[in-house]
Amino acid sequence: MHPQGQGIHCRKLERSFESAGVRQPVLRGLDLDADPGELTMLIGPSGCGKTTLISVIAGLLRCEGGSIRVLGQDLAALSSRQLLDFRLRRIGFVFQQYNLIWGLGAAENVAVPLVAAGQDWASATGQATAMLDRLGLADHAHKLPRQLSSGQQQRVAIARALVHDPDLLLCDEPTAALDARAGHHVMELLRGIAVRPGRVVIVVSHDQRVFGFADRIAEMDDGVVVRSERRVATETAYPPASS
Amino acid sequence: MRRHPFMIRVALAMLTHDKAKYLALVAGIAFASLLISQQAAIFWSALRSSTYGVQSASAADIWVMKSNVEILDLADPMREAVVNQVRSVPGVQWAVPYYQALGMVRTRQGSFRPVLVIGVDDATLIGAPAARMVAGDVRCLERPDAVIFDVSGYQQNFPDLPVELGVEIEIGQTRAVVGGFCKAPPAWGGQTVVYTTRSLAVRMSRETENTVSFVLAKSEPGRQPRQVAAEIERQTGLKARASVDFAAEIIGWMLRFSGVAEFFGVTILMGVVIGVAIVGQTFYLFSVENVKQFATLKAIGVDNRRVLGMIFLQASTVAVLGFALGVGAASLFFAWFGPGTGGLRGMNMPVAIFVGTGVFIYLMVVASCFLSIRRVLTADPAIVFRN
Repeated sequence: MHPQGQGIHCRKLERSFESAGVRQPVLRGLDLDADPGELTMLIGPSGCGKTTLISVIAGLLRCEGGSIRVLGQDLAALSSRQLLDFRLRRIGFVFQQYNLIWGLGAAENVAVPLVAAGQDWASATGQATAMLDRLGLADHAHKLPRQLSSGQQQRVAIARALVHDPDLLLCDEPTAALDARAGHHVMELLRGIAVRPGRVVIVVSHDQRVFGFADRIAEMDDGVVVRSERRVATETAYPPASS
Repeated sequence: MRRHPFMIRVALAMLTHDKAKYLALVAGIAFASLLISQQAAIFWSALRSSTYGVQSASAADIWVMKSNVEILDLADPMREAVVNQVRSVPGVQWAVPYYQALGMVRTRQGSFRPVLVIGVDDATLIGAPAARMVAGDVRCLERPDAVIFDVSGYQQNFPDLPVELGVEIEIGQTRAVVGGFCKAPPAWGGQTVVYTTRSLAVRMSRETENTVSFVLAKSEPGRQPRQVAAEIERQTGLKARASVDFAAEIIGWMLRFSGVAEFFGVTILMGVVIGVAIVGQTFYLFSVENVKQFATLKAIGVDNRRVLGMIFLQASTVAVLGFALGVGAASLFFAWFGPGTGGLRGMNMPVAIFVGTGVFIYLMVVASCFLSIRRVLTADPAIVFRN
């Protein structure tokens, strides 16, 4: 039995969706553990349930069976309001399509989680600009998303995910929309900035070129984790590039 | 709340980042506002103009006429004796004759223009447009040959005549002198309204026997006009109505028989349908396109209450901007074309239409907003993880 610490611990997790009047199981008694201080990569073919799993881990979807503890918290015991607050304060998201707010500048986008949590505008954007600086985007703080390259947009998204220092970072295919060089660079940043003691980092990816950044690889198929093994990351983090 | 201004910034940034869609949304609402307010104002002005005579004779609170008369413009003249009959009814403080007839004005080129000649009581001038004079004074009618012209109709029908007092004209082969100008909507048939004394109006129309179209009466202090009108009917066999009731009956007749309701109703309905279609669909599509952005905010931890607030702010912004532009355009339309152009002369946009259009546009946008909100609130939260 895996110790029930501050990581992610899923046991016999079940979740299904209704399609054409028929319930289709997507997660079929899934077990998963991801420890703090590690980068766990979730891999598997399309449709195997990766997105559903991270949605459940994020509290965006409720599980229908089994149990899930995230950062020591039983998600099933939280009300919708508590789940919202839990996400706001303890989880960061990096999306495949970045999901930046189109009309906001880079620093304003990064500041959104802070302001949503009640921080005032001036200090939030100051903190956001500092985070952008760490990611090599200090000169782009006022630019709109459309004025940034794909790699820069993803770095802004990473800054937004990390600005409130979350204990869990969920990244959904963060390199899928990027070319090999930019994708590699984004993974270097995640490895170098996101991974720290006490923080769980889960990256969903199809991209075999970035598997080397993982401390643990969990392979899913047909709604269950079929293989999960800790490994030594072979790729290392590099200092953030300037572009 | 110190965090609200930033969420306002986020909402407005989402709204305005795509300038083309944003402008299309505002333009759609502006067009709907223009269409609805303009057509409603023309409709209202047309109805209101049909009761203009009743409004002008504000000193009287009772109108007496033959029983077959339904509106001002379709009067059936009576003999002068009816005036004394009305005066003799208990509760009547005073009663005066009022005459109207179609007349022809000869232009300088020798052609004719139809006018509606309204003859007010020679002694009291009750029924004259005292409050609507733009030049001269109603007391000019005390001169034996004086007339007061509606200034817009005068300008339109007699462009070769100077707009000044003292101009001599010929109505029904009777010489008259322009003693004043007033603002009055055209008669229902489009004729320009000309005020004069009843005696001169009778000469212009060459009528000899039936020289009273209506009797205007005033109820004694402390008596209800409706009760006195009923008493007049009982004692004279004529039709008598309190002024407010007569005005309402005229509007009712116009709605039933003139075709104005159908004509303008269809246009206003078109405005509403087009407005709903344009505004509703555009705003709905706008919100649907933003579902993923809202879902991202919800995933990050922004609660539904604030998401709702942002959508309402976006809806209110485009509603207010679109409404202001649309109603502003409608107001300019009336300001430029209303005073002196053909069938639009005398028309304007009252505050009630302005407010009513605003309320309707806002409700329409809010209704679209509700559809959008439903879409946003029921969206699968995991949508943020999809392409």
